[in-house]
Amino acid sequence: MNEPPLRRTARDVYARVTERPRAVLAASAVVVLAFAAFLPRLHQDSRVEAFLPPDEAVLALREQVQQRFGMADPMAILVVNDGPAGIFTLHTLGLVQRLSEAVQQVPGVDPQAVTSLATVRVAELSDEGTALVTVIDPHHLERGDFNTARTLVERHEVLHGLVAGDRRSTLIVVERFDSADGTRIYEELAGIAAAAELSGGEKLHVAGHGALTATLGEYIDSDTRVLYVAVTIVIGMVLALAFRTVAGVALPLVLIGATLAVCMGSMAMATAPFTVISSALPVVISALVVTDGLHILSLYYQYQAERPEASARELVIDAMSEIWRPCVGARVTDIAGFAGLYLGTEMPPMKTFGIFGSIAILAEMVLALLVYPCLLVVARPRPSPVFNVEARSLSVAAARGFIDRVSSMVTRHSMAVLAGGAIVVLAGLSGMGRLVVNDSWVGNFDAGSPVRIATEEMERRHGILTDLDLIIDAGSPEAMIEPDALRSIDVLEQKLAALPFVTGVHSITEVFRGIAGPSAAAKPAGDWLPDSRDVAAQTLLVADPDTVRRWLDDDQQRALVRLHTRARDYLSERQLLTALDRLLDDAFAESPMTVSVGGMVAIGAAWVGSVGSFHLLSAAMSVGFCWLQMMAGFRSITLGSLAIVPMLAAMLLMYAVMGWAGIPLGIGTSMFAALAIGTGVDFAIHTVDRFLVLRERGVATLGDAMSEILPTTGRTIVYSAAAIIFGFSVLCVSSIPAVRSLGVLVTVSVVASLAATFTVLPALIHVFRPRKLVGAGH
Amino acid sequence: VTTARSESGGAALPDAAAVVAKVNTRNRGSSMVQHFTITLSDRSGSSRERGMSVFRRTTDDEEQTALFFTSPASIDGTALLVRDYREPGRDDGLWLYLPAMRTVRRISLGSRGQEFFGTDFSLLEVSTDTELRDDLLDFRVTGRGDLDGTECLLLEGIPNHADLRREVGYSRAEYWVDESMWMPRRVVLHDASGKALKEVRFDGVREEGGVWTVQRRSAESLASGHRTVFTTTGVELDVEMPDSLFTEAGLSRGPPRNLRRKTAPQ
Repeated sequence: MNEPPLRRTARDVYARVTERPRAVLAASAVVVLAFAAFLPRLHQDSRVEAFLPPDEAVLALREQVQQRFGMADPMAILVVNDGPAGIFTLHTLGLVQRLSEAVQQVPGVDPQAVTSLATVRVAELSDEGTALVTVIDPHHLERGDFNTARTLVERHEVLHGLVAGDRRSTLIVVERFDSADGTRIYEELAGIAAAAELSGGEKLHVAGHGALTATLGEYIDSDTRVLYVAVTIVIGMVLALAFRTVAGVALPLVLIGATLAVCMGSMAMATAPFTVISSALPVVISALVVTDGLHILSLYYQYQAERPEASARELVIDAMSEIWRPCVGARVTDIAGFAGLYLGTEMPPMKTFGIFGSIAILAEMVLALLVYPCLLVVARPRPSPVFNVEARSLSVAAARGFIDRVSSMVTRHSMAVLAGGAIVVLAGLSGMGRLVVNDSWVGNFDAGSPVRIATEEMERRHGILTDLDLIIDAGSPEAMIEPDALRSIDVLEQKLAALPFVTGVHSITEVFRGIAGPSAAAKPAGDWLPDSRDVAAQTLLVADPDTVRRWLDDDQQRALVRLHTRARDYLSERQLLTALDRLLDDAFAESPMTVSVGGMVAIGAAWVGSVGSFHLLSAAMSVGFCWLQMMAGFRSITLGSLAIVPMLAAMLLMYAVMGWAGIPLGIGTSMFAALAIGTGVDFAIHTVDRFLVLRERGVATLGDAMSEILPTTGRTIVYSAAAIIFGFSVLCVSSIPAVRSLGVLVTVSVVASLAATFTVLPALIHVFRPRKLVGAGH
Repeated sequence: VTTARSESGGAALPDAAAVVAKVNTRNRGSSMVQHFTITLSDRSGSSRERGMSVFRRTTDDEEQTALFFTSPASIDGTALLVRDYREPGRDDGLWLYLPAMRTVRRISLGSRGQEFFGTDFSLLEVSTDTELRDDLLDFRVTGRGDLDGTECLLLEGIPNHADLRREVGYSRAEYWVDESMWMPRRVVLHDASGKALKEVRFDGVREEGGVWTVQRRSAESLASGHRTVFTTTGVELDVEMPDSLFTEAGLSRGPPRNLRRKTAPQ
């Protein structure tokens, strides 16, 4: 048998590589440890801003809202009393007072921006004169008077946002400084709430978007730790089953560990943040790269069983010179998947996932092809009982019987198999047409997580889930307090209140409404607004400055209008924004004022909005890269095109399921395609490559080749598929729903790819008979 | 640049009451007219200017202060009268005049800790200026410190009852008193946990006719970064002022023509 020149060259290379294995291992250990040294610098970013490019307009507006009006991502303590008197009891009002004072002391909390019945001041006339008073006055409480608080709430509309319509809950809204650590503040607020003494009927929740963002970081941390341990155990178990040796488990795990050290170390080095998306990266990388360790070790054990007298180095050189090509092929397609993810999106966490996924695969390729062989030479793994000749012949015989049945069935019914594949393709294409883009920030949390329960409780009681901000610019200083400008805002507010999902609208007009008192509600819209700029300016001079600054900038040129909404996901945000666009077009068509739209609703729409187009683009790019790589790798257009079909069929099957089952394309699910593409083609690559090797060795017919491949390479493929499938399935136990969905989709699509590789691919080869495989001898 | 040190073993520290007396008996002139430009700015860089004239005089019975906004036009004529009675137990009087509404309102004393017309100064700080209110705060000398190269005495002032603490919004005030002129040059207000809430500075002090006058008063809310600067644009000392200026009716009439904005900005 003549050895092909490429294999001869590979043999020479591996003879050189394994000449001084300890030196190679030492050098590579130094490099890996150098990357690992950066790991402590890895930082986390759980902010919603992390999902958008820094130059995104909605982020600039968010910055403006924070700097000019001191409003950002508030957290809130929801104080509930479901007793008959609601919150208007001495104990509950006292509780709000104590909690507000305690919250103001928390470092990082802006004490002037703690808004509650104990802090917001309204103008009241008393015997002593006009005074700004708070609803909860300790003197009143000491006297046993809680009715004054109730009267003030009923009288001043400005307070209505703080108290639920049924008067059974009230909010203590907390703004923090932008530099402050949200997670620590959330924990302190939760600590304050937990330590508070409650009476019957009282409950406390720490809620709000700020709380969601702050706790997501901790959520990601614990999730990543659990997932990483779980994937290591799962992969270790698959390896133990595959080889039943200590080295068989330890050596591939060393390869995975080194790859992760390089991947995460390079993330830290590049100061790329760890986000909710990146939390899946260690698991994805572990599941993907285990296949090289498995394939190489399988071939080593196989040769060791066939030639027990050969040295470890000889076995390694034999195995590596044969396996390097499909290993490279599979890794290049993985990189293609990650590259598609990187190139197809503008979303920073996706780009990070794509680029550092590629770096990990590239690093693993180098480690697997150059360092792993040296590790094998030094470790000299003892024979695996699974691969001894007797056991193998038994398993070969058993497998051959099964494979012969599968093979003959596929061959006999190849057209039926292909027709089934065609149906899947058609269903997939129609499913793609039904795909809906949707996701939500609150959806990052399990339905049972305390912060989600708290936030949904706040939504149920106060109708507040997310905010939408409008900054209205009147063009010049003081122009915003001109009567016409204030009237425009008042009219706009009424229209905004009628938009879908809007539960409340707040702006500078409530300061004037508050001063006008309860009679304002009975008057025609705008009658209680100042009739001259001077009246407005002087009214604002004596109003609560903290409240005024919240809605009007110092120039009195720009006003903030904040809408509280129940818009919980992208679809509702989109619906609201579309209606808002129409409204603003009409309202500001001939107005000298300009308006900018921001807030969490706009941010949410911006980060999820790009998912649909990005998904198709990145999936198309990944498929394109894989296809080109396979045609080049097999040096055959037909073979490359046929080998990609199983993965395509699996992908389309997933689209069919998603489209027809109504599973939306979200941040997590949108990444499944790029991962499934890179992973799904690996099985076909190893199978077709083995076909080619056997043809080179003179195996006469396609049937013989299949019978040879499936029990040997097929066995390794099944174990590597098991490692990938069980590895990805670890994502299904994530506490982050988006990661869980990604796990389910990738796992199912990899299973489908594997099934298609064993059914659709042989049927295609049988029908199309590519010359390179079937050869002249057939 | 500031450095503070408490002194237990070095030169003996003066008695707090003596320091307070020296500060409060410093020559302020019997009356004074000051014109200011008030600049309010936030962290975003947005800023806004207002003009104000302050008329202050001391009688045997009381310290009287009338403040009139002069610009922008929308608040021109808005005025505040503060009467700080020396008679023990008699509460200060505060009246506000809003020309657009043509009304004079009495302001509750409980409001004196609140912000002065949207600035970072409180009503109390504006009316008290560089005086030390020992009727409201218990003072203690805590040490000496260096303030931009000037050695100052450090005084701690604690609101003398809980209601006042709530009213003024701080639990402890730290005064940096320049002994060379017996004037506080810096005040830092702290909350109950010791966190600094606000810094007030009196800068550009110069002597005019035997009276130390401040050219620049600033207050910064350390939490929000919001800042207010009162820049003196004109000072007149020992000016004859009519009694009517310090009455409710006087607020609505405004200052006499001969005292109006002589040196105020145009």
